[in-house]
Formats: sequence, structure tokens, C-alpha cells
Amino acid sequence: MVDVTKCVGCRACQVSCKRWNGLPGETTTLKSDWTNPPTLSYNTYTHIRFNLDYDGNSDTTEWRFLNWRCMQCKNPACLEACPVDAIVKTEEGAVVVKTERCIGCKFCVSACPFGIPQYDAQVGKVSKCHMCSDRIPEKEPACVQACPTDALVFDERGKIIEMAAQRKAKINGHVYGDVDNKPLGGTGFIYVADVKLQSLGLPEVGEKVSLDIPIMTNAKLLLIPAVAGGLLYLAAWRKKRMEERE
Amino acid sequence: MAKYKDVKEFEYPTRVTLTRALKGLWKEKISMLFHVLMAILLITGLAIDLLGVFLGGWLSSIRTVAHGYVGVALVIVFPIYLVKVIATRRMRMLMATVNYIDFALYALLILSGIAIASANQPWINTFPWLPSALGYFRQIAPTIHTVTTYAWLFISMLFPGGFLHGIATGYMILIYRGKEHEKAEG
Repeated sequence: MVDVTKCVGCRACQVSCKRWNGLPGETTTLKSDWTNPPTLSYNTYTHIRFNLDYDGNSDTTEWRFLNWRCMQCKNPACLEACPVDAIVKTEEGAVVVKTERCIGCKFCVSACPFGIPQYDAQVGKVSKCHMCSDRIPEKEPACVQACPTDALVFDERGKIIEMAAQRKAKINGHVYGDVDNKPLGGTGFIYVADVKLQSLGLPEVGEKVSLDIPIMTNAKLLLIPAVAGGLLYLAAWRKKRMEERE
Repeated sequence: MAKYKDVKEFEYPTRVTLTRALKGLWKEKISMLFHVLMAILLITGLAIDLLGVFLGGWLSSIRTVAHGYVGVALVIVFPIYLVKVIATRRMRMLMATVNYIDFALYALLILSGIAIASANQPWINTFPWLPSALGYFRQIAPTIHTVTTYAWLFISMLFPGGFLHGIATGYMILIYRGKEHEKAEG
């Protein structure tokens, strides 16, 4: 669970993620909103988005910090889109890219409604947060362990949803990702905030899931009449040839 | 009053042999090159899509070299082939409606292929502005590329003048040239 109201934007999660996964630093640019690095990349699995809200009524500003990385969807679109089964879902719910199987086709990049998988042209492969699948269930993910304000909490999904509901009631806030009836089946990461998460840049869960994947899957069915037609053509050609010989 | 040229009616060949068809294709080098490249791309593309589950990472080099770089060659050859078809009356006459659908699908395949490859090296270094310029098209390009491939296969297989149109075209050109040669000699 990510509790946006508790996050102070210290970026300890970013650093611990880099350290645990042995990811190199990269040259970045500091934007006016202080988000740094500005986006996720092949070597940045998690980062903090800085949001400065301005309330015109009270003429006040307020910072909100959003921990952003793979949502570990229950029914991941990236997994469905991958033609080489390079993306798998573990028992614990982590969605993991098997780098050795990845062929860099970027189908997962197109399929993910959250824009999470990151392609590196030099490596020719895709990577993303894997919820520290090499740590759990013995240890919690590195980012959760490093968080000094308990803005990140790791537990079973059911318990997290309960905690999120309690927190929502307490702060009179909003929850994101707990739905079970949307195309992505809800997300593994649940957000709680005092404002609508959409205002912090998160898309509506399931809203952007396009018809791409079922269309791509069903397109293969066109092979059946095509092959049948080809075989019929061959049979007719052979018959004609036999008749000519006779 | 306009004078009309007395043109002998073109006899459609009734017997097609593979040897004669290949000879015809060989005479039309651009057509030959285009169809060979297309065949490689089709086979490798289908291998990636249908055998990916079994072959996994082995397909990485096939995708990069046999599908990627051959795709670049096709991008170069396609406009030349297209211009040749449009500019050559003989070839234009031989085109059936299915062939024109084929060309539209080729164009779609090439455009979506370019969109997919735009983030790859070395293209990202050469044309760094291309991925962002393509915008949303880049996102839907994999779907377009895959669906168009199967649609093309479907149309080409089931409709006359489709799948073997390259061979048939070459063959007919061979016959036509043979007739021209005979006429010149006779």
C-alpha cells in the first residue's frame, strides 16, 4: 500500500531499489517540479513524482509525493501481450520480466495502461519493478524496508485492502487500485490519498485497457481458413494434374 | 476517325510450372527481391508470434537481424517496386484487385513496422525525434502489425491472384516476353 499522505518525498525507496537491484545511476535533468529522475527507465524501477497543488480559495500550496512503479496488476496486460512468455506472475503476485526470454518486441510497452515497462535500445530488452520477487516472501521489498515514514506497507492483498479502507475512512480520502471487476482485476499496489489519485496523474484502473490484446489473439484465427483454403487449392491443383496425366 | 491498332488478344496461359514461374520472377529482379524479402519477414514474423512460447530468447537475434534488418531492406525496396509497378504498363495490367489490397496491407505493415522499430538502435540514434513524432500510432503499431499480417495471409490465401501473385506475375511476363521475342523473330 502506498499512503500518499505519509510520503515526505525523501526518495529512500528510489535509492534502496537501485541498491538492491544493482541498477546503475543515470544522467538526469532536474525539472521544475523536482521529480528526479523525470521518468522511469530501464535502470530506474521506482521513483517519486512530485506534485505541487495550489488551492486558489485559500491561496495555499501543498506538496504531494507519489511513489510510482509497476502496479503488479492481478491480470497484467503486459503478460497477455508478450509473445514469448517472458513475463510471468509469481505466487506472491509479482509480475516479473524474465530478461533472458525477452526479445525486445515492446508489445508489453504498448499494452501496459500505466506506461511501466521500459525498453532500452542499447540492451534491446525491457525491464520494470518486480516487487523484489527475489526477496519476498521472506523479506519485504527493498523500497518498503527503506521507507522511514511507513508510507509504503507490504502485506497480503486482502489485508492491504482492509488497511486502505480504514485509512480512507480516517483521512476522508480516496483509494485507488482495489477494484476487482475491472479489466486488470485491480492492482497489487493500492494507493490511499486525501485527494483523488487521478489528480496526481494516475489513470482510471481499467479505463485505458484497449482491445489490442483480444484483437491480436483472435487475429490468429484467420490462419485456420487461410490454411484450409491453401490445402483445398493444393488438392484441387493435384486433382487437375492427375486428370491431365490420365 | 481515329485509327485503332490491331492488337492480338492476349492468351492467358493455362499451364503453370514452377520452373517457368521462377524463371519469370528471375527476369523481374525487383519483384523477385521484394517477394523474397517478404517471405523471410513473413516466416520470421510468424515464428516470433506462433513459436515464441517455445523458443523464447532464441528469437531475439531472429527478431533483430532476420526480421529487423531484412525489414529495413524491404522498406527500401518497396517504393522502388511500387514505382516500377505503377510505371510499367505491362505489370499494371496484370494487377488484380487483390494485388491492390496486398499493396495497401504492405504499406500498413511497413508503416507499423517502422513505428515499432523507431525505438530500436540504430534508428533511435539516427532519428531520435521519430518515436515522439509517431505518438499514439507507436502504441497501437504492434496490434496493427500483427493483425495486418494475419489479414494479409487470409486475403492472399483465399482470393485468386493473392498469395502466388508474384510468381504468377513473373510467369505471365515470361510468356509475354516469349511471345514478343517470337514475334520479333518471325
